[in-house]
Amino acid sequence: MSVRNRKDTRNFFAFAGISMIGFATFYLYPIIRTVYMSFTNTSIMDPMHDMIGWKNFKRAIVYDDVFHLALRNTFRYAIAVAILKLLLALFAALLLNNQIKGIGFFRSVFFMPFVIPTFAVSYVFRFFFHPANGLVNRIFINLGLKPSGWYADSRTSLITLVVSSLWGFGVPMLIFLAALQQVPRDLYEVAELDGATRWQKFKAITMPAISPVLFFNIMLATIDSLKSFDLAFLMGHGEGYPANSTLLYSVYLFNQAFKNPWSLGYASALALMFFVILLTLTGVNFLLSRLYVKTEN
Amino acid sequence: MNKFKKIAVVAIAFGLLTSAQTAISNAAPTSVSVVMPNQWKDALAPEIAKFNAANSDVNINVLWGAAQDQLIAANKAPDIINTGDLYIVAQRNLLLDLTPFVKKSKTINVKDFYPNLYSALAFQGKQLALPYRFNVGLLYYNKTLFDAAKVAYPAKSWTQKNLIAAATKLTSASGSTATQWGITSTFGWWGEWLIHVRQAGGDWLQDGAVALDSPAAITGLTFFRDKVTKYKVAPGPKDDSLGGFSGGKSAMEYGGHTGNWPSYNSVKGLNWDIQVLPRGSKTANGGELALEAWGVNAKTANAAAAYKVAEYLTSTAFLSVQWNSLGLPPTRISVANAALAVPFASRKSPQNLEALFAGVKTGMTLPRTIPFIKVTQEVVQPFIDKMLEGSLSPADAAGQATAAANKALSILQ
Repeated sequence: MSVRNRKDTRNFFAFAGISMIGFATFYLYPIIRTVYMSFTNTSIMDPMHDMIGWKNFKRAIVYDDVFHLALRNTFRYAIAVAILKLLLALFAALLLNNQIKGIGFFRSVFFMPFVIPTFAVSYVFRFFFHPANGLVNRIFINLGLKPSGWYADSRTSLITLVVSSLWGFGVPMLIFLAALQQVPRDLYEVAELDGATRWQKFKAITMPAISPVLFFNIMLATIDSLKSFDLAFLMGHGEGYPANSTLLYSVYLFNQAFKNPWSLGYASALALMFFVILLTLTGVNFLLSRLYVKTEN
Repeated sequence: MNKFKKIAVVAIAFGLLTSAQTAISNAAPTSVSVVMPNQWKDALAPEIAKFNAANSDVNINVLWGAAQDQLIAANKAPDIINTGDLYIVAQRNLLLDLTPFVKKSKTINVKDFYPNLYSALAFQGKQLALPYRFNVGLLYYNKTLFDAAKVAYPAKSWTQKNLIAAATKLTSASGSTATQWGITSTFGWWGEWLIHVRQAGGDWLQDGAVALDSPAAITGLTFFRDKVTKYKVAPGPKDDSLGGFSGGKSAMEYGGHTGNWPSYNSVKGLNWDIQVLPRGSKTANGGELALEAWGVNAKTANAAAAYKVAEYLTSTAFLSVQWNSLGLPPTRISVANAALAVPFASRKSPQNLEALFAGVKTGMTLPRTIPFIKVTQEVVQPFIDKMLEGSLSPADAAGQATAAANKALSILQ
């Protein structure tokens, strides 16, 4: 190795070493450990464990009805939240992209919910959706509609969770807004001269122009909603209450690891399967993106 | 100084230092770690300090407010483990068998523990922990609301009929909105419905299989539902529970938890007491009996010292302090007798301690050789939730819960 190469190697480790150590300690080692534990019957409360092969995976895939329910709940929730959140974000971004007074204020207002802690949000939504004296049911009654059980009824609790999750559309909205502001104005002016309607302008100019950002937001929203935990945990009392109707994958996984009988081995298998699911969906998203993402070329 | 001399000097210095360190560590007391909640600190820290001052060989190192589960997960488990009757089976390899220490001890006085509380911590012939507090299902009642409605306080001769009659008088509404409930309802947890099942003569587990579909168990579940839907004296899941028992607008609570006493006593104007549970359709027994205990970490460096601490933490003297300052129901008969010796009028809430200690005899522990908590919460409870919603009848809920729970147990065991 030449002196120059040695110097380069030294510099590389000097600059990247700390982050490499951090990556190895906080990411690589836990991942390897999770893979190892998923093939064991490890319990936090039991210092002894055995290798049990694929039993944890078989238990989850073949036998565990509660896991199947959690998986179904998660997909329903994630699809609904991802679609609605993106639509809301895009709609709000389109509104804010107009030349209106005090746009900074409105941007802050839309983004503000994102910085409010989830536990506070859960309390606020519980107050809104309280079946007996919540604001939403009062409005329903005044409008002559039948009040709902919302989060206290297993038939409507997942919908309530979906609606409560939409408050966090501020981040995708800002990303959309940034993309919208990059669309050249003259394209719209030319289209207007050609007599294009609003919808035609949106379809032919806006959507193709922001399609890379739309893809990015779809990816984020999919992953984010699939691994949702805090709001579901708080609103379902950590148990998917009522009747496991708000039991999401991440809550179920948490309960397996950190509640009696603390089955860390089984939880590791669930975590690994979750990783595979997310990876597959990301791959599908990439494939689908070919259908709608327009590059500059 | 030549090389040999240098090495000799270094070796001698090292030897001296090692000897000095050994001497110091031999003289220093063995540190025994234990996790306790922060809210116990004011009451218990002075007692721990007294123990440390009186014992030159052992020093209790309390990790106030630490998370025991996290320490165990990080392979840094304390020497003393906080456990309980529902945990010892899962923790059996983590806990040291205390049987030989108990047999050798001249100070423990095992007979002073309530026998059923002590034996609930033994598994496969090994005493895995010593009990320090218990919870038992009781009937809690709000004296102010009873007085206002001119209803006589609950008596120990009460049956469920008396309960519903009193609750009906104590329930009030303004239009369709409840302004006061006769009894609270417990949602999302077995704490109440299992009592009704057991008081009707049923049980969660019978002959090794889930038996929630027995006629007796269904009778119990039906009573639990009827309280809400037929008698309308307790809130359903969609009703305003008015803050539960501590909200001051619920006259009674069925089962409850002794761990809630400090919060009840902190509510201004909440004048409350307890009574034994009313007799169910079959028996008065069946209040849930659960306990917390101190065990010793099987990997502790000094088992004798750790046992000494566990024994101290469950001694008459220490449990008395816990009872008098924190209100933790004691597991020793001597401490219970001392509590009962205090004149009724001089006691703070709850005054009817006779009911508390009677509950030790009529209470029933939960199945502990199976993953009871997991199967009940994840598998059985959803059907009970649906029963309270009205989408399943008690018989259907019981039948479906039993089938699902038996399937879950067959996979888990």
